[in-house]
Amino acid sequence: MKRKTQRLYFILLGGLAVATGIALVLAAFEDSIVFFYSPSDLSQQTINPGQRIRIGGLVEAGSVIKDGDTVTFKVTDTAETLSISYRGILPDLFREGQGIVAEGALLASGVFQASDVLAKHDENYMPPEVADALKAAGEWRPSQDGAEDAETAAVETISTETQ
Amino acid sequence: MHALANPNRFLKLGDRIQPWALGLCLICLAVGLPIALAFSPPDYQQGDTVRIMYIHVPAAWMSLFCYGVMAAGSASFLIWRQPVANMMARASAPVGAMFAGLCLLTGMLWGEPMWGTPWVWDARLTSMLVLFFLYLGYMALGDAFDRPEQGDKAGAILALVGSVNLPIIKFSVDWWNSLHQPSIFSMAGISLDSSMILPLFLMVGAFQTFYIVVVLMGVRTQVLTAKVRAARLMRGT
Amino acid sequence: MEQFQTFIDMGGYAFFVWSAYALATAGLVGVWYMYRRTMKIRQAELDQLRPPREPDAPQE
Repeated sequence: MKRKTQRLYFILLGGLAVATGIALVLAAFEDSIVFFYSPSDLSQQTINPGQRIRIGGLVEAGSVIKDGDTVTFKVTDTAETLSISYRGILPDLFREGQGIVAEGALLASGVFQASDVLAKHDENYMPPEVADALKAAGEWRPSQDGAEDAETAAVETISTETQ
Repeated sequence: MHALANPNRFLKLGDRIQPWALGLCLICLAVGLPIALAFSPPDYQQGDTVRIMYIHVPAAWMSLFCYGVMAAGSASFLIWRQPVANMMARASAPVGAMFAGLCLLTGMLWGEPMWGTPWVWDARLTSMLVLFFLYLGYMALGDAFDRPEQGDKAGAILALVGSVNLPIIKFSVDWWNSLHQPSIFSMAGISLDSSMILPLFLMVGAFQTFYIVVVLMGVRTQVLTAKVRAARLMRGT
Repeated sequence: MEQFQTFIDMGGYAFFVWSAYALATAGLVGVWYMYRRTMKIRQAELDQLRPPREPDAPQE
């Protein structure tokens, strides 16, 4: 075998080994790479009250109640819903139907006490007129990929049924 | 392809390309910047902050592209001992690092008003930061050895190992829940209104041609460095 | 004039938008300058070690 070919195979094999190793590590750490859990994830796992976690979902329509500087609202992934209580400044994008990620801990009462609320947005960008026109024509497609499982779709989507 | 393996031929071709690339870059900027900043519409949700996208997204793509060149150049240097390939790889690193840094910083400037935070340790942001450090490590390794050939080899191996990060960056938003939104490109097409595609592509064109301009300067610097080294060896200093 | 003001204001996000474009300008100009400078320095080093056989400026 020529040395060049030898080096080529060596590098290909090395690359394969490194890639496999990284893939295994990433798979093993899946739980810590996931930035947030959905309300459904939460019902399947035992999370101790007081344990800091992040919850992601859509702000349920009509659930936002402002009381002074405390806000309570519900997030949903269309399957499960969780009540969140938060005190502080909300991001500009926070609104009903918007995807958000809240960081905090579950209280014994089952309410999620958030210390931070972050707004998530999707990858659809358009001028306001186009958004209005789409809504008026009933052609609003919240997600590019409707076949996605409900959980991610719910999180990545700004649903309009809520508006 | 073998003609380009000769550094002098490569530079001669580069000399012919460079003015065109520079001209195209300036045209893209002259047309693209006014559209990006003023004549394109604001986003229905994000208002004028969407204009940060015309810097952020091209910078992100270019940082991946530069790393791709670096990895491909490193591979062909290690396998076929192509000196020009290594010079391309070396010349792509600083500009790629700048694009990665620009992507991270503009991302923070976008995240602060929209997400409510400049930084989170989600998969996309973290893997992008790793890319930035890979660039820095590659540049540092190249200069860390007394014998430049060793530095070239070590850097090339790092560049190749680090290239597993590229698919991780690309698919991080699909594989794991992240705060960062998915790519505007998907199987379904591009999820960007047509009025926003033009400024984005003009800025991509500007950054891409800018890369060509500086990478040719960088390769020339590499060739000159090799010549300086050879001349010093001949003099025995 | 009023239009210019709204352009500068960027819907209240002036700091974020303009900072991003300022950083981009600084990055591009800085990288371009750096590449050019190292190229010039190397060329000067080489010229010193090995004076160019054909001078750039044609002698009269």
